[in-house]
Amino acid sequence: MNELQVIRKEESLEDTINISRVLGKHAVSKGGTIIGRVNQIRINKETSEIEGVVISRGLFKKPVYVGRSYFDTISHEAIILNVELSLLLRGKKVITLDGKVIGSVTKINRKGNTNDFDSIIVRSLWKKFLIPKGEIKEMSSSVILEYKYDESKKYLWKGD
Amino acid sequence: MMNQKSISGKAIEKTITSEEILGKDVIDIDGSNIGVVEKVLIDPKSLDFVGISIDKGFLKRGLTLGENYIDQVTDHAVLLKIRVAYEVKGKNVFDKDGKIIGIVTSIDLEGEKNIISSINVKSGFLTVGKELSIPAGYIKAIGEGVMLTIKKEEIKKE
Repeated sequence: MNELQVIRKEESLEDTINISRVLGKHAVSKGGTIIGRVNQIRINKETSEIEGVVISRGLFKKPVYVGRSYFDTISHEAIILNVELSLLLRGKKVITLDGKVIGSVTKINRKGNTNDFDSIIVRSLWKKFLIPKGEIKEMSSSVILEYKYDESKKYLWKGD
Repeated sequence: MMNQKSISGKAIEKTITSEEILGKDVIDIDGSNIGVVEKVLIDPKSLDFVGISIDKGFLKRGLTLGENYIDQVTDHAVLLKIRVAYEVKGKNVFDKDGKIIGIVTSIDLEGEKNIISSINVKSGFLTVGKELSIPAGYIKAIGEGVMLTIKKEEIKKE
């Protein structure tokens, strides 16, 4: 660690990352969703360690700060996260256990500032549902619930 | 159907008709909508239900699925037990460092099973470029994109 050297070739520092080359590169989720581009790299003032990155997501979306505990890989090409961002559930279709689309996710009730969440709010044209995380079976292209949908009574009920 | 007389010799109360399947959405295990049921396939000799043919929409080639990949037919949709391998087509492919290599243009399956043996990836503008064949063993994860366990430079050497 106590090193001081005159650099003749950058290869001599190959175990490290040149932060300036990471800026502007993609931040990608575990499953290959492009979240945005790395806008800032935040460093702890006391320890000098990287604390996280700010990812810009385009003109109309607010930037996201991601702490380093969610990093899987940092390279000069991209930052790959070890999670799927729960924030990206917004807008996804919500399907019951028997395949009925009941609406789409409008809000994610996160646990503080972590990626974990307690529940999601789902809206259809006429209705609004609060679905606890424990009642979600799968989150991928869509959100699949543990519930079935009773067409005649228009309510959700627990599957068999 | 309940008002009809039956000479089937079997209990048919729990069966469903082809009309109840045709036109229904087909949803895979991830919740992706694959298309709608276009045909119900029946073995001409045994008369057993063998699968469905799926219409994937305008200008897209249809897909035939064996009944062993179907989880259940509900009032709302036909639910599959699998993620359809062909749905990987068109996804971005990232190497180990997160570099975009290109997009999946086609896939090779193991026989007619839903198992990927390799993906073919084209890089370059409007996919006009060199095509790389990447064996399934180098695929780390498939989600919105395809994540590899190998660097782009290493693929070229393979």
